[in-house]
Amino acid sequence: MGNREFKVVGKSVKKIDALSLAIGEAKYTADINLPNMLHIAFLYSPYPHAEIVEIDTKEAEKTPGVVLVLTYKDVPNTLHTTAGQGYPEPSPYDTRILDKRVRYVGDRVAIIAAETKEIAEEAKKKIKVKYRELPYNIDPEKAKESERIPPEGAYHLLPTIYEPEKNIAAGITLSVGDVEKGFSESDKVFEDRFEIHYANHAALEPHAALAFYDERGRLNIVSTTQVPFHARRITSRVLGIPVKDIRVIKPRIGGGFGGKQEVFLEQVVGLVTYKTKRPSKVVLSRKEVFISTRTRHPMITWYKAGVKKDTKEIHALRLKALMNAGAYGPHALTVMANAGSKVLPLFNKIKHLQFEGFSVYTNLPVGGAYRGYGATQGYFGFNVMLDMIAEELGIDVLEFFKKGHIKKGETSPIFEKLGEGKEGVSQIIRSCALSECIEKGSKAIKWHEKRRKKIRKGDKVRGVGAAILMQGSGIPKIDMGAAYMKMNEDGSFNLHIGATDLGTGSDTILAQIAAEEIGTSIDKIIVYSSDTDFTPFDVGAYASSTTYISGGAVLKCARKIKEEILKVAANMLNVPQDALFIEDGTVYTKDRTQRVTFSDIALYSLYSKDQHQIQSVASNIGLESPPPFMAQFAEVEVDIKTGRIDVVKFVSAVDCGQPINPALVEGQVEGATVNGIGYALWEEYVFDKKGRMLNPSFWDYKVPSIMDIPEMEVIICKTYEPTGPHGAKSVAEIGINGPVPAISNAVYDAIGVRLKKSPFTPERVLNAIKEQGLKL
Amino acid sequence: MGELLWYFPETIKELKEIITTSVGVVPHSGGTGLLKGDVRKYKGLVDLGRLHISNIEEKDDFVEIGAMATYGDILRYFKDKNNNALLYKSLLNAASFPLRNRITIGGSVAYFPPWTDVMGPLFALSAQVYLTGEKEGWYSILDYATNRELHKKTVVLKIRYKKDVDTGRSAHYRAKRTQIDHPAFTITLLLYVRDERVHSASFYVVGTKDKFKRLNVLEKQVIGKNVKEIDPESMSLDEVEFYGKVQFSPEYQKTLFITEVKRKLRDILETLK
Amino acid sequence: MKGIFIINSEKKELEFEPHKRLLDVLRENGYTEVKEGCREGECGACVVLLDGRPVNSCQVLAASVMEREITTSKGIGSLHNPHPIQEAFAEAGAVQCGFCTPGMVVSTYALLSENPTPDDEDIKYALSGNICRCTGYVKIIKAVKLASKKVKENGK
Repeated sequence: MGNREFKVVGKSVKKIDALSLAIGEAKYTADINLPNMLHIAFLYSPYPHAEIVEIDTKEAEKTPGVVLVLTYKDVPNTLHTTAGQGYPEPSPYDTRILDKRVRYVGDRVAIIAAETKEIAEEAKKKIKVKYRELPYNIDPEKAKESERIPPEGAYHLLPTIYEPEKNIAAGITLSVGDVEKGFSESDKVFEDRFEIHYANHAALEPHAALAFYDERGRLNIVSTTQVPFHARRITSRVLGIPVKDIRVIKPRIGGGFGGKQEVFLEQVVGLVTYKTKRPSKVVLSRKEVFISTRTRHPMITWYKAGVKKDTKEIHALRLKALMNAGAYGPHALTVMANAGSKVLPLFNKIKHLQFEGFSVYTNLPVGGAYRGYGATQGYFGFNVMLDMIAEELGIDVLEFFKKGHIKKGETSPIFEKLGEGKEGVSQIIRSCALSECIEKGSKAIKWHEKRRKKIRKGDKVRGVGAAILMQGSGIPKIDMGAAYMKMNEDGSFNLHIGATDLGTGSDTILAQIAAEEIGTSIDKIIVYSSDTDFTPFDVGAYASSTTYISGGAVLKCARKIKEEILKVAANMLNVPQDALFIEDGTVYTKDRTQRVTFSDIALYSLYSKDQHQIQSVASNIGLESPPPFMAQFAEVEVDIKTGRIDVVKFVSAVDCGQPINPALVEGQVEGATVNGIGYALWEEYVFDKKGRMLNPSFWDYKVPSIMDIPEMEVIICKTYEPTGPHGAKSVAEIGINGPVPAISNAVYDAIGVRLKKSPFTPERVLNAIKEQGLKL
Repeated sequence: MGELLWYFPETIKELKEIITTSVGVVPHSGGTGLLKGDVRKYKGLVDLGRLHISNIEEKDDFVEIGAMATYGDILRYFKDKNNNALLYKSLLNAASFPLRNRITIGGSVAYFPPWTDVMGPLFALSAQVYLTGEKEGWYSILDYATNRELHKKTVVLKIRYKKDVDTGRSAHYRAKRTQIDHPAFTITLLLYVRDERVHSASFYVVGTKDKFKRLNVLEKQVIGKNVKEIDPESMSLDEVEFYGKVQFSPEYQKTLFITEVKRKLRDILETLK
Repeated sequence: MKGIFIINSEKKELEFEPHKRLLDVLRENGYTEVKEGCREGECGACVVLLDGRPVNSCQVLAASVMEREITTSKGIGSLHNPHPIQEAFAEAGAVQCGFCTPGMVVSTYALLSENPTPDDEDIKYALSGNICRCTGYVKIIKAVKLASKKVKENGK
């Protein structure tokens, strides 16, 4: 099965929307303008924590061109979560559209709708607000003792630890074996603290949404969303408008990375259009994207590992995680849980394990989903710890990796114990090429020639470091995707999917999966995604789910329509169905003496006899979440006088099952890697003492440019995942997890200094050099 | 806020008339500096785009650059002619590729943001600026940068420096986080060597607490010395203070400054040995 | 105020407010292929050619470029008559979300006009003002090289 010959799958076909995008023809949300449309601006809190004592909007309302000003007094006060997750969401209901209390610098105070964006922006300056400042806290380690942040009445739908009065947004503890006993049985115990930081997705397209009433009075919302169906559900609930009266349309999206898995604009444009009966649009500025959307959750992790000298294995491991959720709790439980669930099973032979995770509220920007989703945070300390242990044991860390990592046919108790907000799903690994990834990646980086060599040229020293990773493929038994297909009279097919292409190329790979299964070429598949009126349900693009979950739905759907095609062909040719096979859009009898083309079949079915639409629909849930695996390698050059790190070369070797489209696989890995390198080295939120972000712009929040990239190499180590569509697993997120630990380990290899707090800015590296001393 | 007025003078005479008589108007060259704020706060903008003052030429002993010459124009001018020119080296990585086609040298001189890549080199080259308006004529760039009076109702028309000044050995350093970043500060070094001895030196750091500083202490230690005898490591440096910038604390900038100024000096000396 | 602009070789008289940026004037008049990513001259999504040279249209006041030639990605090629650069970006896998691509295409067009066979360093230098968050740039460099080859073959 693993050696199956593919015709469409496994080929780097051109993305179906690429040319339109390259020309600029394709429309994004902000490109759409409607007659009589209102433009929306937000007034934001300048304080980290305050109560609105008085708010006077008269002057703003009098401004010519201003149509509507809304404060907390004028909007539905439904508590909800903005996290675009399945229902019931594993995130606390702690948010209102607007509230009397503001909880971070950047929290919304008022909504202004006007004839132009400029008028709305000008008018907001005329809103007079009297605040009563409240005690605030920006230190997650002090959260439990600080002034309560979430509103009275905030609650969680799931039975989980939620203590709003102590600012605890979520908590999990679990054990395997007896970790304390494990430590006491160990010969050497390692313990360390790692800190990983706030960052922004920085998708090039800022968040935007547009609402209008269609000719039948239904509310239509166009949005930069990864989750159109969740957006419809949440908007319906928050505004009290029935789901049947809302349509959410996802046009082209300019990148998401998790930042658009949040529903915080749809309800606003929906409300403004509901109140004014006019179309309305909001497009956030880059600054607003930084301060008021969502971020990577910062996390402090404490790793403690007990090692046995005879077996050279980790005998006991404890991971404590403290996640800073920011002022509200979207994804507070699940991102934190993933720091354990996506990390701990990788070394599955550890006998005694403990995970203890807490998410806490602070008066800082709000965390959310971000590519990697907790795994990024967890893998930093994990891989640095493994590097430290291997050094102490006197073995090559790559050998330590290879010996310890989970393998095909194996499992980990963590799979079952830790899931997304509830218990997980037990699974056996059915495909894993991590050892091959380590092997091939180490050759590409020239590990054995460079490791421990500390090659020095003046003040610059080189080193290499590695990290190993796994992620998942969708959320098992929770995520569902569905697909619908129909056949046209020229033998082409409409494929309608709820899966949301954010630029990832999912429309293309889903078409490849369908074309492969049906036996036709990709240009015969007309893809439409995603529109809550016209496409079947899909949870959306997150959790590395689209290829595996939605792809599975497309595969099933294609199988069904293929059956239908063969049935009609059998009738036409008057032969039994099992005497037929399909090749390149034509049905043949097995002896090849007779044939009918897809076009003949479709014409026949639509116009000739037993007329009907050849069509199919299918749903798919993941019963498991087969992890993709990856080994990443960094070669760095460290300037010992300035602390500057230059990444010279970066290698990623990935097992994502059967790559559906190798070029898109490489693109996902390359993009994730560069994002990860930027995150490791410069990208960070810099705050003042009151939690005000000091660098909410590309001027001071540096996203890697084309000049900043190292030599890059991506190696695909193909496997065949029996549960995946055509053998595929996911690939979208995993590549962002390795750069932070791989670079940290490479710096240690070069200069003997451990970096445990990210990002590794020159200043921070220099301080680490001063504290720890160079070992050259 | 009233409606913003645009003036499009086509002659220097017209420009002078507008500048000296209108209140609340500012010159517009590339616009990149003005757009850092809200342009609606001005009564009027005087566009210099129709004056044809973007020419770069060698004139007598000088290189003369029109105020409207963009960084891109300057780079293209020097590219084939002299890629050792200090301005070429310093502007090569200033801003970004498309921005360099909009940022003008005149705008940079008049606006003088702390992150500019052009002021250090112009100081080092002892450049002069030609003003029109209430003042008319050539002024030293140092005077222009430090005397606010010279900015009132004047416009920079051109910049020049002596050709032979730029025949020295030079280096430009930008303290940046990524390759495309505005520098926290820049260091510009220009040395003139005759018979193996440093004849003159002109060292500047821009982006300091006082905006910029000439490194007199360091200059004194190299002038008159044989290049083979100069050891940058052992030299004492000028006291330079920095203000904090995002991801650059004052202390770190100081460390970086000390390291990089010595490195750049050593780089120059290497080329002489 | 009113002004004439030559946009994609067409003479257009447009009405706009005097403080408006070229980016806004273009987008408000239907040239939505010019994208707004940051409005601070840092991302390059709004890059257009001004008299053949790439500029960030968000950093240009419209009034200052009246009578001048502005070229957007759609002025370089169209859906039914794409330019080899646009084809190369599509074929090389250099288009993920596509939000940066029209700006990349414009910058590439300017590069290849001056330097038909750029090497990696030339490409990086010329595209240094165009941020892409999706691709990690590897495929973009590949696309520019492919474009160079295609342009030579097509003689465009």
